[in-house]
Amino acid sequence: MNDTSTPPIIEVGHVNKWFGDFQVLRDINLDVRRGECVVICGPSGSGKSTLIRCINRLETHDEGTVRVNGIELKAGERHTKSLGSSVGMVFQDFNLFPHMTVMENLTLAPMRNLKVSKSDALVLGARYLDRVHIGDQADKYPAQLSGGQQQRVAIARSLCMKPEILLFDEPTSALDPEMIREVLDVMSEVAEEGITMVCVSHEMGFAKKAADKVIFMDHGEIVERGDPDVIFHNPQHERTRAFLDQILHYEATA
Amino acid sequence: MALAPHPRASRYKFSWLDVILLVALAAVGTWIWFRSSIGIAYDWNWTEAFETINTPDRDGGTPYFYTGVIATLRLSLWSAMIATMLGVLIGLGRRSGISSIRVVCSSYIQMIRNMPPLVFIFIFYFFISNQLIPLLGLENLLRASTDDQSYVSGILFGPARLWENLLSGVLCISFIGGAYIAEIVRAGIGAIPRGQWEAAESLGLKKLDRYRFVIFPQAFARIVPPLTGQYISLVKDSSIVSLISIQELTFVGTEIANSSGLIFETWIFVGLVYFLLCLVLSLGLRFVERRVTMHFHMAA
Amino acid sequence: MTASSSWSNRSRLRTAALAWGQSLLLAAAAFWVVANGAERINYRWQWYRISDFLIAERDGVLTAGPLLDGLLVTLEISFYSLVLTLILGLATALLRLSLSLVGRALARGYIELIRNTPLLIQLYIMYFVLGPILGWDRITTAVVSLGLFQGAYTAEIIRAGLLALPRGQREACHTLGLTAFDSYRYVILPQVVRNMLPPLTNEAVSLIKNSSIVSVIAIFDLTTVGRNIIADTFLTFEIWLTVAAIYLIFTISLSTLSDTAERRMHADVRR
Repeated sequence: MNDTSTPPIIEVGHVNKWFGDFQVLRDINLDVRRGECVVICGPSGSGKSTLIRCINRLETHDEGTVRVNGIELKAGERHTKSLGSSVGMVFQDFNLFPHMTVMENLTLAPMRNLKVSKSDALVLGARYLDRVHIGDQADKYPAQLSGGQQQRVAIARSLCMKPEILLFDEPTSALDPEMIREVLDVMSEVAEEGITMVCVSHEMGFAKKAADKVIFMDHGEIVERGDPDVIFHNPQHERTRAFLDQILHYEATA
Repeated sequence: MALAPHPRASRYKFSWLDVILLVALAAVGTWIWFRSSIGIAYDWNWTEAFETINTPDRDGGTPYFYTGVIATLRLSLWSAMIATMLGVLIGLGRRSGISSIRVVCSSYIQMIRNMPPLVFIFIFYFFISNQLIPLLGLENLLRASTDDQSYVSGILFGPARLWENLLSGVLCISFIGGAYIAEIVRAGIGAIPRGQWEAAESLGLKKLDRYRFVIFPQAFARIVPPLTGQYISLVKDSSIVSLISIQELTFVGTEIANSSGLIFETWIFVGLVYFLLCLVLSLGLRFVERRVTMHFHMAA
Repeated sequence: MTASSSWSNRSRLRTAALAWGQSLLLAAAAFWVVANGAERINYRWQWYRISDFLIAERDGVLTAGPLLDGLLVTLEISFYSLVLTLILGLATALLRLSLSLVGRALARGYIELIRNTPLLIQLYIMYFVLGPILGWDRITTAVVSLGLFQGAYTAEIIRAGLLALPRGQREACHTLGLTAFDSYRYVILPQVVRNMLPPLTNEAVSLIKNSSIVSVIAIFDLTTVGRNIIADTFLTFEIWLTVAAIYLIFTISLSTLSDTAERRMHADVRR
């Protein structure tokens, strides 16, 4: 899956970012290659979400370089236009459009942005709904679905734009425990198809199964990075170990 | 006093409170009747009042009182339309990316909402009579050319000799109402969760599309209920332009009260008409409101 | 970190300076429009005469001019109406929440009647009909009209404030074994009053604004005094702009106060 000969699709170099006086990102360096699946974990407030939001320009960085899909994103500048639809995002709380049916949620962006005809958009939408295993829910409104189903719709909605990179911002933390699995399964399937993925997630099972690389962040900096097996079973850093202890302890008792 | 646990509690009990209230109500009613018929010996004359109100004008046309009612409706209708346009523009302007537009819009809203409407109307009247009217030479031209006024324009704009009068009133009420509607629009759009904007943005929707397909449809359902309330306020607020001689219901009421001397009856009539207008309007708008927001409630 | 935090401070300063600059520019533009319009009708500005109407000098002693006298009347009427408003508002809100059928009907009827008629018409009916019948003077008529009007709106605010308190709070008091008095004294009222202060401040702003309407029944409040001075001196622009400014000073500072209080309250709750 890793192709080291091509340049990385996401290059983050020496990135710093502040919220007022508080530094959320400290000298972040990160390369993601085409087709790679990277999982970022770390305690809350460690800057994970901010980092991926800098990649699709929901946030801007203050210093350093961010290059996505060959396009240089300048510090302090929001210019989503040049990124176009190449970067998709799945949010923690789904952010489906409540006034539209599932199918309308899926077809809106392809029709408006990729200028896909309505009939083609419907075909496209139906295909991706099938891929997330809820082909029968097309005409329902988001509020009529369970959390897990809503998140799968959100994934399908992003896929409809045929993005090169798909970002996940804690996609399972707003879900009831019994629904987490169905979402993670879909995410694993998407990863296998070779789309570039960057996921902020604490789901170790998913990371072990799908991730090519795991990154541990704390206090705005990348503490440790490497193969999932190494990070989870033989972490080199004290902070990583402490964090994993907490998670494992929690998972064992929960 | 026992508080109902729920606003729609249906456990009515006839209690001492009801007795006291009924006695008090009867006492106040009797007292007012006593004072009016014996204290100041007012000679109520409802029959004559009815006749006065229903007397056609000199040419046998619509009675003066009813032209006032129609004028108020006409004034409210145009004002509602212009105020809505103004309000949407200013409300959106408050979210503009250009900070000077934001400053202008928010100062306008602040100023109107904090100034007594009466003071605004007097200042505005002075501007209108001194500045805008000369600019409306165009309208004089128009008026001269439309001696034979069509029926439709008569209904929509009233008699041509009062067009300037109507326009002053409409602008006046619209400028005030616009500030309140702007605040409603701003609040409605502001209430859309941030995640909706972010989702629309990360799907790559263009700015106009984000508003058109994602934000506006959701904001609409939040804007409509307070907006209908604002329309009713607008009908009520229109009464104060009578003070700058705009010929609507209150102005007509003043004239009839003065000329007929039936002061008590006339003002009670005028009050009743406003009450019925607003009541019918609020029932009608509530129906519209329910139709408009029904779909949204179902979805959310 | 220091480099960028000073950068963010600088940018914050720049934003504030920009906002101020724009406000100044806006004021200048507004002034230009007025001045330009005035010039077109050959208006002769006489701002220097305004001070006489604010502060008059009689026999070497400084006394309040007519405009300040008018302001005093406005504030006086607003104050008495506010007291009446709060009493009526609270009574109506409690009646609406009560179990009494007559009480609810009465409260509902009062609110609908007031909310569906213009304030000006209410004032006219008070002044031309009820006032003469009951033998009220003009000030009483004005205060009662304003109080009745605002009371109907305040009632809904107080009702909402009472209903907004989460049920859990009452239940918690009950399970802790607090007496009814103690739960009101220490738990319910502190929260309700805190929640209602900002909207009630806005009611005071409304009252000051609406009080100007009593000028139609010849009460010498700020608006009437302004109209009279204009009738005597033709200083139309100067007087109206001064009168508007005086109203705005009071209403804007009050509503800013309530906005700040409300924002701080929300911030507290979020924390």
